[in-house]
Amino acid sequence: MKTAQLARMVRRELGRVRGPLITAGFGIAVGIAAMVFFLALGLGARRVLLGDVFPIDQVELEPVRSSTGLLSLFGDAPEPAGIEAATVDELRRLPGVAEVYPKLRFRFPSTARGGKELLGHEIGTHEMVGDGIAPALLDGALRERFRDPLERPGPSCRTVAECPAPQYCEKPSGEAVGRCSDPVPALVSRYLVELFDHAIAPAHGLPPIAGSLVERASGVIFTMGLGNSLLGVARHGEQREARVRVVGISPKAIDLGVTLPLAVVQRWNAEYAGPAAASRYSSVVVRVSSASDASDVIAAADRLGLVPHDTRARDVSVLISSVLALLMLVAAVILLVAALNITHTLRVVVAEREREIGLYRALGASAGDMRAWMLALAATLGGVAGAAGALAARLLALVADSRAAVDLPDFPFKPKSFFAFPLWLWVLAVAFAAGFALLGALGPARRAARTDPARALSRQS
Amino acid sequence: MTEPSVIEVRDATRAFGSGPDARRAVDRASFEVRSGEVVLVVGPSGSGKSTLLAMLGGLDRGYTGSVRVFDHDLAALDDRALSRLRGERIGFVFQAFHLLPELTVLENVTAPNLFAARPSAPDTIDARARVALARVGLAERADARPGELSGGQRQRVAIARALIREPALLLCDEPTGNLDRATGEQIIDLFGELHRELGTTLVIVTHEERLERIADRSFLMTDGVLGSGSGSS
Repeated sequence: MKTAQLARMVRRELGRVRGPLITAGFGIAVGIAAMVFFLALGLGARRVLLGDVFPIDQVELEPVRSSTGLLSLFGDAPEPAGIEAATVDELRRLPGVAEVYPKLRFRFPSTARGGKELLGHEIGTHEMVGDGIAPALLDGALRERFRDPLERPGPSCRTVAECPAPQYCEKPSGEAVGRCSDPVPALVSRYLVELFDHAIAPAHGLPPIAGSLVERASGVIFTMGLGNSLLGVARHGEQREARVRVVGISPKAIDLGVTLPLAVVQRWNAEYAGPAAASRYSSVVVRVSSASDASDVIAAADRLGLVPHDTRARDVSVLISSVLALLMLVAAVILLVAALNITHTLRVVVAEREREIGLYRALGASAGDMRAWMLALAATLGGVAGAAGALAARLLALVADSRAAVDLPDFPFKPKSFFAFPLWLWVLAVAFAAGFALLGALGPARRAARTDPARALSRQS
Repeated sequence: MTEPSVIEVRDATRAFGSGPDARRAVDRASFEVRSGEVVLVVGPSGSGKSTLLAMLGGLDRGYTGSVRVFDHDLAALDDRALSRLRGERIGFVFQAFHLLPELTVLENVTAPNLFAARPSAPDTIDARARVALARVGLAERADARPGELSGGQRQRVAIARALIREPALLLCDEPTGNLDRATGEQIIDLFGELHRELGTTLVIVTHEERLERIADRSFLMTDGVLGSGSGSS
């Protein structure tokens, strides 16, 4: 039977048995709606948790932790373990690795103060931690703003007063003359901003900063004290100040602290902790080709003496996958019941159409035509029901999002939408629905194909 | 000149059941039908006529012996080839009409086009259906539903449906069985006309001997056994 003729028969049949077919399709639609809703919720949760909170397309590796901790910042504590440039190259050659970006922790004590423009008065910390990353790790416009300011140094200077605001005089320890420098660009993590807005700011009666931190034209400028902090002084170098401007909130930034361009941290580490502190990286961010490569890369890195800095991403991923699997099981049960319903409905259709099938066989239909008729009917029913189910899930998600926006209190990383509906999810919904409907139609289709035309035609009406 | 053979049946037996309960609906039937003939198989109800007709149309292939139609051994054809042979060269007319009540007369008549290997375009098949309906005298009822027609009109629709693809062989199972006498006579006349105008080979199974007036030959069938043919050819 040609496709056009098959479509005509299916269309005709859909009109003839509308009621039972709608009932059967309703089950499929409910199952698909549940499946799509849960999947979209899982994808949305994954997007927020693994995209913003714990990015999983990349893994940060560091040497097995030494016990020196903060002591490495001061005095003659042993050098913390570091990652040599050769190891970074070796990592780049691993299968599944898209790119490797070294990170360098501050190896010197520092402080920070500022924020008057934003908060009304200055705030500060007596112990500032931070790290340096390559600008290439960032995307788009942020990458351009995140440059070592000494790539374009200003005029020579001896004091900050000689530099036009907001520049400062970047004069390394022991040097008589420095260069005027724009404030060092800095990134902060969303985690830090959320922590400030939801824990620190309310406790101190300060306004939240998330909405205005970056939007401010000039950015917020802090003054960093280098080589000295509450806990002590650096073993090398002179105490001095540098200016830092927050240029963005980024998941690439250190959770608690500031992240600066790698070249700046290398310079300051060399100045305050010696040349080795500038050349041995504290960790590397490995961007994997796909999330599925992450575990292989971690295993290979382990052989190089590197371990993941943070396993929360994987833990969250496993948790989300487990919950999703459970919810998918529920949806699968609904779909199976719906498929059984379709089986029942089509069995009735075949039984009621037995004489008609006999007639069609007499008119030239083959057994395969009859099978195709039933399967096409089921696939159409499933496809339409699947699309309706997916649409219902989308509407439900919109309602849930709008209710969440109103009813749920503001909390860290609260997304605008808890759901994600990529194109493939729509396609999957329709294909899945059609698949389950076909599964349910297999028996009736076989029965239709096996109908004995002579006996069917001899049956009394 | 002898016309070519359309049907050749040799020692065909169709049994239902097994063991001591087995019943032979058709018992070692052998006969031949030549192109253009009108052959009647007459017998009482339950004599096996309809089973024989189903065998000739390839609707029932559970027989032993040989049934050849248009030189094809029906038992040897696969389902697709057999269906194609049925669709293209064999037409059926049934006692119960077997019209689809939800469809219009025109849609019923065009139904065989759904299963054609090379379906005609909707306009073409509709035009042919209207010609077929005109031939059976129902041109003006094309848009009616079967439920709106009399028994005789329904049978005319069934005949138009059987003729739509201009089959060389028309197999009719009790075509007047559900009709009153007068209407039955009209249908018999219609078969006579069709045979004269189109030269279609007709095999009609019936318990009504009045159909003999259009038949070239007739066979009497009793308890599955086909008697020797009688008639002019």
